[in-house]
Amino acid sequence: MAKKILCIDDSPTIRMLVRKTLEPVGYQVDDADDGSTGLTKIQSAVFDMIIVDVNMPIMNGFDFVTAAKKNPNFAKTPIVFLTTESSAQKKELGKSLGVSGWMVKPFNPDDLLNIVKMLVG
Amino acid sequence: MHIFRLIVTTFLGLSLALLSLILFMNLGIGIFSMLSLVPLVFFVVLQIIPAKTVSSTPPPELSPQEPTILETPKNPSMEPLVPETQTIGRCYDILEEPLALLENLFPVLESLSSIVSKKIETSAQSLGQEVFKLSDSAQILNEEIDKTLKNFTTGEHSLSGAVLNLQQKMVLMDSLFKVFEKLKSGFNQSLSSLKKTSSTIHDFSENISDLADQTNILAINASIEAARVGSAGKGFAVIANQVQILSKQSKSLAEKMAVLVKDVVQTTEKSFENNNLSISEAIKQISTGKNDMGDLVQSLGPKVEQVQESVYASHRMVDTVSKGLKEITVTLQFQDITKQILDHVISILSEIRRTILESPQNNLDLEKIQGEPFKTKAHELASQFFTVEDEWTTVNVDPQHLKNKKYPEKSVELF
Repeated sequence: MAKKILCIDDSPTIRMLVRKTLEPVGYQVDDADDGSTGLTKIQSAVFDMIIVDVNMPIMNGFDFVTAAKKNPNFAKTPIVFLTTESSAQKKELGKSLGVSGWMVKPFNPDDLLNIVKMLVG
Repeated sequence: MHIFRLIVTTFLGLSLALLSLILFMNLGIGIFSMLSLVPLVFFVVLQIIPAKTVSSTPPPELSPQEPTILETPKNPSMEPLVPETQTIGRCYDILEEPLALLENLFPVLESLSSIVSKKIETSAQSLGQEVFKLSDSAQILNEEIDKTLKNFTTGEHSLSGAVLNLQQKMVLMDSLFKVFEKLKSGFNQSLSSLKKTSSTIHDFSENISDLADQTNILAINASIEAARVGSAGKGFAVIANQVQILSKQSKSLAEKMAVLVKDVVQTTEKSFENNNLSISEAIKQISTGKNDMGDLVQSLGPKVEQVQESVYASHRMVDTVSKGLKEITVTLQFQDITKQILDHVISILSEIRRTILESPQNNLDLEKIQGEPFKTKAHELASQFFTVEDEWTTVNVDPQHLKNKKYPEKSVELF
């Protein structure tokens, strides 16, 4: 059965690029345009991995991760930040929240595929 | 004073940066890169030069009874001649109009930034979709080419298979050619043998004929002797007569046999000659067919290789498209980074605006600054730079009624 990935980013272009990178190799991709919509999605479906941006309107990535980790269904789901942020402090914050990885934009499709394969197979 | 100058010059510098982004939409990334350096240089120069000016330029000669706001102390650490709060207050009075313009321009800049972000996002998304569509089409085309040419070049019913088949048939034709050659040779040997036998039979028949003649002569002599003897030789005379008859019949048979054998030999010879002609014709046609097949096999061989090369070229094309697609994926993401930077510019402008408005020495009349006269003036200032329809919406102007003045009716005109 295909692994299901959720991509949360306020940029439609980024969501499209993630989808076009992962779907051709067999992953099933769903998306949301901000943290709040992402929370709604994870309450109604199970995902094997979540890729999330940091800077988003309504609910940013850090708030999303904090809320998602409270959901017992997603306590152990790998979450990776895909963001323009690259400061050490933000990375430490992400690590403290329990994210599994940090990718800086612009991402290379091969790097994204490798990280997804490593985390979900 | 120095801090105030810092705030104002930073604000001006970043405003110019944003306006240069607007120009970028029309004039392209090269000009954008150049123009975005201008406010930075402007900002740096204004930070450095005033400090140097303070240390190198001698202060103006002033009467102690006439303090002036623009007086610059020789040593920045000296106490100001006029109380600072009054100085800053008077600065705000002088800068009321420019600050009012900036206050009213801030929402315009915010809107322009939002327009730029949206346009870049839409453009990147559209481009991305088209590129991926092309890539998918290329992939499908490659799979079709692969399928078609694979059937053409591999497997039992392929062109390669047909060439191999032809080569095998040529080997069979070669064998057939040899068989016919052998058959022709066999016919010739048989004819030669028949002729030899016929000659032998002819010799035999001549011998028999001679023998019959001699027997006839003997019979005649026996008859003569029987007649000389008289009645005692009557029986002998009859026998002699019978022998004479037999010898004549033998001779006749021998002659008929010779003629018969001759006919058989002639007929057989003619038949063998006809067969030989047919075999020779068949050999000739087999030889021609074999040569033609050989030519065909030779010409098909390179064509099969060309088709195979086309398959490889198609695979290489897909690899190239795939590689290019990865690079495009990286490039398209820069719109997101651009949006982030624009958001940061607006955030910085917002912070500067807040700092100015919330300064304790601020004696600005906010109602006046945010009121209609200054608002109108700010919009008129911004409008001087506008050339794109979307820009006019940020100052609540319908660009349609400006069409005659600013926008030509046709997008292309010949002069």
